Amino acid sequence: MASMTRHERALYYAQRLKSSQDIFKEAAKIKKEIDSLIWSKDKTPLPLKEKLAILNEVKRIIIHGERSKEGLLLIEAGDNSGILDVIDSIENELKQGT
Amino acid sequence: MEKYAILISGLSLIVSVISLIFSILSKRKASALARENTKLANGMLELEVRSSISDSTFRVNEVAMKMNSLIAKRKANEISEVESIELEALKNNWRSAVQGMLNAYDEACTKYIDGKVDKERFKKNYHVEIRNLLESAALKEFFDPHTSRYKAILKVYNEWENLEQ
Repeated sequence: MASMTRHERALYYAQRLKSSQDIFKEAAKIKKEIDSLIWSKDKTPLPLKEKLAILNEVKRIIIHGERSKEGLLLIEAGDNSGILDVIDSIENELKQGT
Repeated sequence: MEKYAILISGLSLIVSVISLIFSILSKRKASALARENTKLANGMLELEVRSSISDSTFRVNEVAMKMNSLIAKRKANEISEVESIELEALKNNWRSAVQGMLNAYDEACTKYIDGKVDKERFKKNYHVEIRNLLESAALKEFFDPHTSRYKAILKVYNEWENLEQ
């Protein structure tokens, strides 16, 4: 997966589903995206087991939420470290002259 | 006759006091309502800020995902001519998406500086995010203290991180 851990990606998908107006359409888009995921390390496609693990993690986050020690939803608190990793990864690729 | 005069003035006084009490209660209620409305407006503004940041972040992620897929193809020499053109176009979109995200954070920080959002809550919610932005190597070029367009972000970062200033 490109510069995101399974959990970070699941959190990102869960946020998208929660804020979506058409949950069915968004779920279809996410499914398509998960299908096209590749490992950033060797660019090979993700195995089915990993894809299912992401979906299970999304389900877990949506059902049980993502709680901090204070009992507050981390989704509400906001965390941009995932997107900054993504930016870092793309910028590195661009510097390498891709 | 004098008795009636005393009674009437007494009653007038009672009516005036009751009226005064009602005025005070009414004013208190109005103030409480105004405070509630301010809280509600602040809450709406905070939601708007978060939503704007989320939307712009989503845009960055969206472009990144498309680029990653094409970059992988190019590295494997499996990229078509059309995809190659698409990748070049996405490189332009990429910069604009990142700037859009920084604009959203800058707008949020402007609201904080202007006191339009709850300062304590804002700091609690955005402290880590602002620090991450400023300390990101990939975004360093956007935060030069002399040339940066994102003055509000820099100001808020300095306020929170450089306490001696």
